Amino acid sequence: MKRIPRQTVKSAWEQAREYGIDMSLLVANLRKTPAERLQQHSRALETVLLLREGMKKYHG
Amino acid sequence: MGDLPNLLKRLIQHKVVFVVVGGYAAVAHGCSLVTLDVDICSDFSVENLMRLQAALADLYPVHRMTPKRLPLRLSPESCQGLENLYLDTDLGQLDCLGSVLGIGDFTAVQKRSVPIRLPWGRCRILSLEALIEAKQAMDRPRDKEAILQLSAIQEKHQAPKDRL
Repeated sequence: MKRIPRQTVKSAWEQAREYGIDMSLLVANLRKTPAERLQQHSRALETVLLLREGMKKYHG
Repeated sequence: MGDLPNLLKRLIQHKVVFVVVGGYAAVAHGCSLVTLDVDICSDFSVENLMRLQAALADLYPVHRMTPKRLPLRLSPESCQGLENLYLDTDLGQLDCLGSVLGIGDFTAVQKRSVPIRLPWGRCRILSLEALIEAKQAMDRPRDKEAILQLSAIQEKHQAPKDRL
């Protein structure tokens, strides 16, 4: 009797990793409280907005 | 501009009844994405909308989607029939939704929310499971990464501690 190969279902973690998501960032985030995550996001957003402003000035 | 935690703080302090949804809720759950706005699903009763207006009063709130960016000037009469508010304020963008696709109206959203503790008080955010459902229902290409991240986080929460 022929054996039918078992289909491997990838975990959500594996699928995200394969998509290119940096899973170490998620691991680091999960060690934080929701409040700490929002504070960290706020600092990141501030940087994004500063960079945008800088690019606007550069491109005129 | 872009002080989203302060925006949330004002809503909490003015006792606005709301649930954080969308990208900001995803960040609170652990997503590594950056979002430019806060999306909330709120009770669109006159009392709650007037509290919302009071919370934003000195932040020059305007209707972001109107061509002339009209200032937010709610009255008990003008609150009738409102379904969503897309606002821009001095602290950032705030979208107030009366319902969430895939979940339902505010009552349904509230039922599927969880409390989080913040330095200025408690508020509610859409549960991880409901947030995934909502993002899947919207079926937008730009949400693909958020869905993958949220699903991975959900799996991590469900897995025994020694796995993953």
